[in-house]
Amino acid sequence: MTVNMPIDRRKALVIAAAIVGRILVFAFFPQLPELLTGQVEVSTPVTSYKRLQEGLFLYIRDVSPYEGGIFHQAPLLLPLFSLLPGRSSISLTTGLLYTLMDLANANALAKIADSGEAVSSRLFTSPRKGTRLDGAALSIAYLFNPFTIAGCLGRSTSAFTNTAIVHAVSNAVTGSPFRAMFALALASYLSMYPILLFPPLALLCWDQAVQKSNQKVGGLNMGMNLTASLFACINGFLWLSFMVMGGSWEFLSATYGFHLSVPDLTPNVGLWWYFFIEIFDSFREFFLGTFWLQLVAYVGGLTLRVRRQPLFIITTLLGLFAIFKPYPSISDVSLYLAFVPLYKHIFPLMRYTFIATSVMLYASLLGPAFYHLWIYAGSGNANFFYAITLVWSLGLSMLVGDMLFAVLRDEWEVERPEMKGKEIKRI
Amino acid sequence: MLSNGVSQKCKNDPKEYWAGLGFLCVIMASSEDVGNDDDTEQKSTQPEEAKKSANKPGIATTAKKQPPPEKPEAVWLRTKVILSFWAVVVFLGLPVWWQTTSIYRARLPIQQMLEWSEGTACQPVLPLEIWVVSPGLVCEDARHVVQIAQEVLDTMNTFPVQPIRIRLAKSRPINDSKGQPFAEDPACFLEDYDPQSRHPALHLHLVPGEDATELQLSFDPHSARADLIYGEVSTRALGSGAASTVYNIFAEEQAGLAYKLAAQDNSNTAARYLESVPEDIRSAITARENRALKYASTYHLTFSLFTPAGSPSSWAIESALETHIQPWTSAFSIISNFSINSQIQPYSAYSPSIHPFQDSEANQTLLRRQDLSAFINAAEWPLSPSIGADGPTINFVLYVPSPSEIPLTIESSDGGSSWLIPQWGGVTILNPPLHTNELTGQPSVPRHLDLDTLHPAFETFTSQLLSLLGLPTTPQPQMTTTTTRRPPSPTAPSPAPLRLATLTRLRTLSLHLLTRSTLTSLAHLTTSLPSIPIPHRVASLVSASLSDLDRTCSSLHASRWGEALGHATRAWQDSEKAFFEKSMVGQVYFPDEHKVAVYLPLLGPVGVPLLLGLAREVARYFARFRSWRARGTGASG
Repeated sequence: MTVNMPIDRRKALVIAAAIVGRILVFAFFPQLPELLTGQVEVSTPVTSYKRLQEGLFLYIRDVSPYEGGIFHQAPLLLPLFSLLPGRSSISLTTGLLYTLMDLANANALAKIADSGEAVSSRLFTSPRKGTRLDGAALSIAYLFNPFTIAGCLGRSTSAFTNTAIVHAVSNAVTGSPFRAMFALALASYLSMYPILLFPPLALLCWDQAVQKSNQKVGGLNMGMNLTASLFACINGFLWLSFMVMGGSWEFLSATYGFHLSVPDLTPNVGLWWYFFIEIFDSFREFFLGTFWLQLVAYVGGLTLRVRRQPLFIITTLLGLFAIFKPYPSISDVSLYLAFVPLYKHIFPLMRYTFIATSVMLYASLLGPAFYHLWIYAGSGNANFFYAITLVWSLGLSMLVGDMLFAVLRDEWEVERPEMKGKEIKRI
Repeated sequence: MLSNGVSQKCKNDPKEYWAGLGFLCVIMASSEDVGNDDDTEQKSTQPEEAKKSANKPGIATTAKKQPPPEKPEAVWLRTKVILSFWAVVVFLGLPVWWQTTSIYRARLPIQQMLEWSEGTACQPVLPLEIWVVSPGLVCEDARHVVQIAQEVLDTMNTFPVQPIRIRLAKSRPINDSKGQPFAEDPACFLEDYDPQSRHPALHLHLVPGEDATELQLSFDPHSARADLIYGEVSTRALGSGAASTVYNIFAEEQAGLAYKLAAQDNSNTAARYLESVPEDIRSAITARENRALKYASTYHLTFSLFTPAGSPSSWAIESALETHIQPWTSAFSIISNFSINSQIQPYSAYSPSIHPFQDSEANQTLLRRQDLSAFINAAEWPLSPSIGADGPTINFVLYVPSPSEIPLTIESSDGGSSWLIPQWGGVTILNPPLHTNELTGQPSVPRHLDLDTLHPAFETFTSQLLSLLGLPTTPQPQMTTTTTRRPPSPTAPSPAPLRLATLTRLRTLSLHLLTRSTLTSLAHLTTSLPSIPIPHRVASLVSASLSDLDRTCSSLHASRWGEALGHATRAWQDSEKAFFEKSMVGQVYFPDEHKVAVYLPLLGPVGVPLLLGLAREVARYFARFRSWRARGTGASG
C-alpha cells in the first residue's frame, strides 16, 4: 500500500485536473458548452439539453412539458433540474452536476476494473490476465476521452443513462444485485433501450452470487428475484413520473412512443434518420420493426456465445447500441469506449485496431465539417453527412467485431493452448 | 497493436469477414470454426499447398494433422446461437412483418355502388307540383280547367325526369281588388294535400279580369306565385293557356336538368330531350354553366377597391353590402353559405401591359376589348385564389381610375364599364364625379365613395354574383311554344323564389350525379387495384354517402327540395372524402415488383447468413442421423 501511494497520488492529481478543467471551461468559456449543445453529434432529439430547457420552461409554468412536441425525455429529469439554482442556459451548477456524474462514472469504472471481472470471471480466466489496467488508469482513460468531455460539456441527458448503466455494472460486479437492478431500472426508465442489458447483467449478478456464497444458488430463483426487482423499480419510476406529471400518462407516448416510432428525423450520427427519410411511407412501420428487432436480436446470441464473460457481453452490446440505436450520439460511444480498456489484455489479438482507430478519427474530424458544409455553407448536401456517419458506424462496428473476435480467440486458446500465438484461419 | 505477423492469408480475411458488415451474426456463427483450423503447420507450409492438402488429404505428400473433433458442447452452443437468432426472426420478426405490411381492406358495398351507375338503383325524378287556385270559377269549371291543363301539359312535356302535376288546391283566402274574399266551394277539392309534405313548385292563381282580352301573367316578386289573369275565354282555352304558361316557366329548368344528365350521366333520354330544346336556350344554358362556379357549401366573397392614386381611401362598403349583396346571400342561404370581406388597395394600378387610348371626341379614355382579360394585375394585387381549402373565393374588383383617365370605359360598348370573368369574379370600373382640389386646382377623385356613388357598381356586382352562382333566369320572354295561342310572357324574369327553387333542384341533381360517378369510380378503383389499402373510414364514408344518396332520391320523389339538397350535399362531401382519402392513394403507384427492391437489401445481408447458418445446422443433423442409422443397421447386421 505504501509503495503504491505515490503512484496513486499522481493519478489522483490527474483525475483532479480533469475535473477542474471541466469546471474551468464551464466557468470561463461558456461559448464552448453552448456550441457543443447545438451539435447534432452531441444532442439528439431525445437527449438534447436545449429541448430539456424547453420542457423545463413549460413544466415550471404548470403546462405539460410534452405540449408542442419538442421535449421527449423522462419526466423525472424535470423536478431535478428545476431544483438546480440558476436555470439559465449557462449555469455553473448544471456544469458541476455533469462533472460530478463524470467523476462518479470514473469511480464506478475504477471499481469494475479493480474487481478483475474483465480478465477472470467465474467460468473463464484469461491466460493474458497479467496485462490488465488498474482502476485509476481506466478512470483517466474515461475522463480524458474527448468524446466524454464533449458529452459532458454538451450536457446531453444521455449522461444520466450512462451513469445509471455504469453503476448497474459496477454494483453487479461488486456483488450487490439489487442495487444493480435499481440502476438498470433507472437507465431503462430514462432511455428504454438499456433494458436489453438485463440478460447479461443478470448473469453477472448470478456469477458473483455463486462465487461469493459457498452454498448453491438457484439460478431460476435468482432470475425471478432480479426480474421482479427490476420491474418493481421501473414501475416505481413510472408511478413517480405519473405523480410528477399531475396524474397523466401522456409522457409514455411522448417518450417511449417517440423512441419506438422515431418521428423526428433530425440528422444524427446513427443510421436511422437517412433511411427513414428515404423509405416509402407504407414500409415505414415494417422497417421500424426490423431495425428495432435487429437491435434486439444480438442480445440472445451474444449472451449464449460469450456466456462465460458476461461483462464482455455488456461491453459489446453497448458498442452495438452506439451504432444501431435510433438516436445515438457520441456520448453513447464514450460509454462504450469507457469499457473497452477493460480488455486491454486482448488488444494484441485484435487485427484491425489501426484501421478502426483511423476510421473513427477520420469520421469524427470530418463529421462536423461535412455537417457544416451541408447545413450552414450550403455547398454540400445530406449525402455528405450521411456518408460520414456510415464511415463512423463502419469504424465502430470494426472495433466491436474485432474485439469479439479477439475475445473468442482468447477463449479458444485456453482450450487449445498449443495454438497460442499462431495464425489461424476460418474454415 | 496488430497481431504479430499478418500473413498473406490473413489479409484476405477482412473481405470475408466484412462482407456482411454490421450484422455480427456472421461472426457469431462463423467464429465457431476458428477452433477447427486444420492448418497447424501454417508457418512452414505455403498457404496454397495447405489448402490443397486440406481438400485432398489422400494425395497430400506430408502427413497432415487433422483438427481435433469439435466438442459436443461447442456444437450445441452453435446450435443454440443460431436458434436464438431464428427465435427472434420467427417469434418477433414474422409477427411484425405481418402486422406492418398487411393491407387492411375494409369491405365496401361494391354492388350497391355500381347499382347507382348501372341505373338499377333509384333514378332521380323531380316531380313538380303546381297548385291551381281558381277562386273565380265554379267547381265544375275549375275541375275542367285543371283536367284540360294536365292533358295539354302531358302532351307538351316530353321530359320524363320532371313530370309536372297540376292540382286544384285550396287557397288561402285572398282578396279581390275590392277587398272582398273570393267565394269558394268547399267541396271542390279533389284531394287533400298536406302542405308540409309536398312543396308546390308554383301556386298558379287563375284571376278573372274584366278588361283582359287575352291571358296575362304576372308574378308575385316575394313568393312562388303567379297570377294568370283571364278575360272572356272558354275553359278549354284557359286550361291550355295555363298549361303552356306552366310549361314555359319550367322549360329552361328542364333543359338545364337535361343538360346535367346528358353531361354527367350519359343519359340517352336526356340527350334526346336536349336535342329538341331550341338552340338559343341550349347555348344560354351552356354559357350559364360555364360561367358559374362549382358548387360549394361555402363561398367567400371578396370585394376589393383598387385605385392607382391615394384616393379614394374609404368607401361605404358596409351599407352597400347591406343593401345590395346581403339580401341575396340570405336568400341563397338555403343553398350555400357566404363569408364576405373587403379591402382597399390604393396606389395599385392595372397591369402595366394595358394601354388605354384617349377618345378626344367624347372626351373619355377607352379600354381595348382584347385587353380586358389582362386587366387584373395578378402580380401586384393581393387577391386570394379562387380555390380555397374550405370553399372557393369569388372576387369582385372595383377599379377607380386616376383623374386623368376618368371616364374610363370599354371601347364600343356604349359606356359599358364592367365585365365578368367566368368562375373567378367580376370587374367594374367606377368613374366617380370629379371635384376640383382646393389646394392644387386639379380635378381629383373624392376621398370617400358614398352609397349613391357605389350604387351602379353594386347593382352590377349583384348581377355578376347571381350569374357566377348559376342562378337561372327563367322564363325567357322570347321562348317559342307549340300552342296555337300565344302564351302570356312576363315582362321581367321570374321572381327570386322561383329561380332559387330551380337552382336548388339543379344543384341537387348535379350533386347527386357527381356523387354517383365518384362512388362508381371508387368502386372501379378498389376492384382494379387489389394492393391499395381501404381504411375503415372510407367504408363508413361510403355507406353514409350511399344512404344519403337514397335519401336524396326519395326526397326528390317527394318534391322536398331543401331536404334533398341537404342529403345530396352530405352524400357528395362524403364521397369526395372517401375517394381522396390520403392513406389510400399512397400505394397506388407502388407496384408489387418494387417490393423486391425494398426487401432485397434486407434479405441480402441479414437473410443469407441466417439461412446459411440454419442450412448448415440442418445438414449436420441429417448427417448425424444418417450415420446413427448406419451404425444401427451395422450393429444389428
